Amino acid sequence: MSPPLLEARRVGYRIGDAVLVDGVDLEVRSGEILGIVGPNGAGKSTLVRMLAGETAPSEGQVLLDGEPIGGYRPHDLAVRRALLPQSTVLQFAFRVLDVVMMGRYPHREATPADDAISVETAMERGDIGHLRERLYPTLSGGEQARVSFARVLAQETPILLLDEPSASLDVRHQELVMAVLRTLTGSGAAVAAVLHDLNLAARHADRVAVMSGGRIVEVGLTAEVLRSDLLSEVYRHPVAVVPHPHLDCPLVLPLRS
Amino acid sequence: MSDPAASPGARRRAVRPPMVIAGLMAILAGGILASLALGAVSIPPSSVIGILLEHAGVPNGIDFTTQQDAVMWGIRLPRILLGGLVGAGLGVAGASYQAIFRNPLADPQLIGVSSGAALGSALTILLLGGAMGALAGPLGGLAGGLAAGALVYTLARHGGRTEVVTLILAGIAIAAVGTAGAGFISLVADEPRLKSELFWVLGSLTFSTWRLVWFTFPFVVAASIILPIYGGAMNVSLLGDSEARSLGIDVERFRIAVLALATMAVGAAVAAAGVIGFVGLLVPHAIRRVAGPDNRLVVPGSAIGGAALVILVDLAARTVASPTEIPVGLLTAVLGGPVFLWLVGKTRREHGGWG
Repeated sequence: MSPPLLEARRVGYRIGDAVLVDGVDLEVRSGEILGIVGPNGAGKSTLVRMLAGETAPSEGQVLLDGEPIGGYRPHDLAVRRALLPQSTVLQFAFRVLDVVMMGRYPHREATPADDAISVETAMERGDIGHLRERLYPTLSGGEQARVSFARVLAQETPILLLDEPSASLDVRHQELVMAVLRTLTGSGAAVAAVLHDLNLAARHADRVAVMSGGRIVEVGLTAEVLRSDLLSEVYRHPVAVVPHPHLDCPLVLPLRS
Repeated sequence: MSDPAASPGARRRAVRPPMVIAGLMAILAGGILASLALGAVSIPPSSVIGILLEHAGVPNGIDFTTQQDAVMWGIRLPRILLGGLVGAGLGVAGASYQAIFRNPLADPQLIGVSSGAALGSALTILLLGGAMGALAGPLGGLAGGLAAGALVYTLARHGGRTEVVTLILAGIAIAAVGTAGAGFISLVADEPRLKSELFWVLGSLTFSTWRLVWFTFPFVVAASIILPIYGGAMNVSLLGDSEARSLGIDVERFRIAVLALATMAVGAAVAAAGVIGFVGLLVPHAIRRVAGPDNRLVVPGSAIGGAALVILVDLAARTVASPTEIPVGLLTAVLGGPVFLWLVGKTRREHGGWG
């Protein structure tokens, strides 16, 4: 097992009396995709923002390579981890190419040639090469999501934290995004992604953390965690889990209540 | 750049940055020369050059009268330079506010910073003018502008976004208080510049002197040189606080630095020439139309373009109805009001307006 790159220790987050995240222990490891699933309001986004050092936890701490993440300077964080938020609104008419290029902002020493290669690779991986001259505000939601994904890839960090990278994507692009993440973990990247689609997690995650009410109810290998009893209880809705007829993974089937 | 909402496939062919800067410089140079030559006393272009060379210590045989020399060197040149500084300050500040408030409608006057600066400047000249001398205006403007900027910033930012309605409403309230305060001061003050209520509402370059030029110069030039350095960070910050932080920007520090620098320029500009509206809205917007939204170009371009605009508008202000002088802010409002309305309509079509 590779050492954890990012580690949450007894992490909690509260606003007034509301506890959004409560006593979470979690490791994000090099070479694997960690899927974070759970019902609405479970605290998934808040957890991801704390893992990214974007929000400071009210309890516990997040360690990046063994050091408290709050001690890193913004630029040092930016070359180590990238965060993809749920959606990005841009009121100014930047081209797609310009937006992806913004992902290169932390790499001040990079030559224009380095930047060009990263941006081209990122655009190809996000399948947005044909949109390069289009203006970002004119794109559809799914296209904007792919541009943001490409921007995060252009940042070229060893850790990727993604809040619903696939939410507004069609089937082909959902699979494409997960395949890109798999390629990156193959070369040592660590990926944690909030996933709404349980079957996307079932097909692509190495490990899954199930969150509910601010806590991690269970975390472990995907096939061991995605069980009918656990999911039915957490989602408060009957869910069946059967072996996938064509792939070597579970298939999650919500039933009628 | 066409209207993105009307044609979803809109592409932009941006004009290259050096061309944009060169074009703006050419307009600025043309504006300066025209303003030197034109007015109640007409000075032929050859004499303009002769007078400039004479003051630069270059002996030349070009003909000019002592009256022409007095008018150009003593009256027109300081007025042009001050107009240029005021325009540069308002332009560069407008572009910067639009970036940090993440909104193309942010303008020094609309968000209340100009009025805050006017009140601060008028109050300080009135109360501390004796003790502080000519620095009272710029420093008071800076303090008043910063107070207004901090107030607007605190009120309108919520959850990492700027609420446009709150921004504009706060601007209206601050402008009302600032204008009323400056108006009251105009009743009790002795100094001609302070006494002119119109000065604080519509601005004027009538009171330009070399002293005012020198006291405005460092604030505006510092802002115009430093703010463009933040252009790349401004671009990234437009993606959102979360995105900007993820890309390594210390968002709060960045925003406060830009807010302070831009407000410093506005404070100095308002202290020198009163409240001239819409420059910070018109100029960055025109540059974006031609060259796209990259702030590494829009911010420095707005300094040059703002200088050119105010110089040209002031030329019109003192010549079209001569001998009556039109307040310069009246003309910028005539130009800026319709553009503002058009921007509001465009934003409404593209983003569904503001509830």
